[in-house]
Amino acid sequence: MSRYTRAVSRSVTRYVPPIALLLSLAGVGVLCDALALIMVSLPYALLVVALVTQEFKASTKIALIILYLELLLVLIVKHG
Amino acid sequence: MTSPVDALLFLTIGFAGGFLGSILGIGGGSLMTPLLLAVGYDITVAVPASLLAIVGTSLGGLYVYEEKGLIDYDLAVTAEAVTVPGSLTGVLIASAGFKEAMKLTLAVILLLISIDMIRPTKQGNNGENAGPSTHPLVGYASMYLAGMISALAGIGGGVLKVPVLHKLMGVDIKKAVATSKLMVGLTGAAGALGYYLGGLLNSCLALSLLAGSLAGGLVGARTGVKLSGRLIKVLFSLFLLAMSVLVIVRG
Repeated sequence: MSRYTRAVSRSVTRYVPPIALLLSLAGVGVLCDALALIMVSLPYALLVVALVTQEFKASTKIALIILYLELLLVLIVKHG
Repeated sequence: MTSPVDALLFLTIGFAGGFLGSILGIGGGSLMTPLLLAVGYDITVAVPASLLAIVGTSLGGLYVYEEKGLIDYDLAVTAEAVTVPGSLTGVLIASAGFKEAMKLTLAVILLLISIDMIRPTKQGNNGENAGPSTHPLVGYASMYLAGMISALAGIGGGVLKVPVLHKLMGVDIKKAVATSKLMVGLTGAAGALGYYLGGLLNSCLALSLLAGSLAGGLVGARTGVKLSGRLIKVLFSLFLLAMSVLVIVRG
């Protein structure tokens, strides 16, 4: 887990600021939305990697599933 | 299309938020949101943009704590399962159009943080900080409220989560800061997603803020080590106090 977290964290610090600024100045809504959604997804994607690669307590695994169900609920409520 | 002036203004404010947030070990939302309001943006623009920027600053600084093994993933996930519903409650309140409630929440939170920052730390008999007491249930309930306040006020909630983790849940302060760093990203992401799906996130403007806050965070980390902690706290406290008054007056 830590290897992936560090890699993602470093990449975000190095590459995201120039790309984000460029997209923002260009004002291409679809691309801005895409990067914004990638950023929003990253913390949760890291947790999935953690679930697969790291030894979590059973209670943590349940909490993680609940966390994802909550996000699913947001999607359903907001799109429904 | 995003105006270049708007984009540069967001970039500058993001830089200021990231810079000061990094020095003080917080996400920077408590600075970015009032600054965006101060320059005339609506709170429904400022809050979602700040939440997205917080996700960036959370991810950006994570590797420093990860290298030191300070992040408690078990606690972060368990506490977030309680915090995210709070965050979504906040988004629903905000989506219902309670702008005044959002502004008032932000002003009160800024005021409380500014008071807490200048308040002297309790000292133990040996001159060390008094040990934290453990109240897990109260801690989790506070996490729910922290999530709601985060979404309403456009802050990641680090300034609320660190004291809850440390003082109510008995987590070592360094671990509390590191774990909170991961948590604010998760809370911010849930809040930003909620605003995006509700059509309230201007992603192009928010990305300018995110770019600025990431760059400011890097510079702030290098500057912070050279400054006196007490001086930073007092200056920042006064700044938050001024922001709080500004939000109330402009509201």
